[in-house]
Amino acid sequence: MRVVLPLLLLVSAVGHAAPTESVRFSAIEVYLTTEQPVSAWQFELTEANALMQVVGVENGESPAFADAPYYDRAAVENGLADRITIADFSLADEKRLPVGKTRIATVHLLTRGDREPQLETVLVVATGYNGQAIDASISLSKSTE
Amino acid sequence: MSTDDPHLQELDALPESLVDALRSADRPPALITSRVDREIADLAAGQFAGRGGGARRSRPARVGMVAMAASVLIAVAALLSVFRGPDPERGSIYADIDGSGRIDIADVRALARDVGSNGVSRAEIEAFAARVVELDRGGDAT
Repeated sequence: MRVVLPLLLLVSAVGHAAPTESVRFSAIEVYLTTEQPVSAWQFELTEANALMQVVGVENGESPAFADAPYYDRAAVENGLADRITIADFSLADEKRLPVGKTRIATVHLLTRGDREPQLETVLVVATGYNGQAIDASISLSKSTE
Repeated sequence: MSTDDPHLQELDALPESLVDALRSADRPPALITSRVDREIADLAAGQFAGRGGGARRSRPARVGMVAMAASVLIAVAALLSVFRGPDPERGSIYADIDGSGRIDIADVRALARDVGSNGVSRAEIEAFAARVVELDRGGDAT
């Protein structure tokens, strides 16, 4: 009895010291809007309050970008991606390159706490078929799937 | 000379030519003075100096040493080229190809368009792209 009681007290203390933190998983769709065919793009995704951890990245909807985009796989797999840089390029013919609003990636997130993550995106570059920089905008949308 | 000496009596009995030969053998050797010795030495020195044998021997020796040094240098250079590790920076590939002032995915694509003709492999393109998005480098590697 003298051994069991301290153990019960210790377990109780540990339970109070580390309250369970709510964790949510979500998917964010990333869209690129251009007026010209886009052959390469790169953007950065961050979260203002360090609530986010990127746990996966999928390719978008264009057949010209059929493979998974480039990102730091090691950081994602090791749980270190509290931000992410995602990029991809295509050597397809100009006619096959996407134009208009195109979903270029889906980012899977793990979010801690009850607050909504404050996601921020920065479009680093978007280029046309000949490699010239083109006007483009980037936007996010919660995945419904 | 007394004929009572039995030794001389024996000589008288020998042939004349043999007696002369024996007597010449008993004469002291011809005297070689120091002057003669010096002149002979000078003649010998002049004779060998005129041949130039020393120069002929030293030239091949120098050529051999130079050849050996060159061989060592070539061997060292070859070993360095063989055992030198890959350049981690690969400066010729990881560069601002399109001159935008930043290294990004557009540079990767610019390089990828010429794969095969520019000596860059597909694997190097993949490595370039992976480096562009690497978080430790700030993502956009600017």
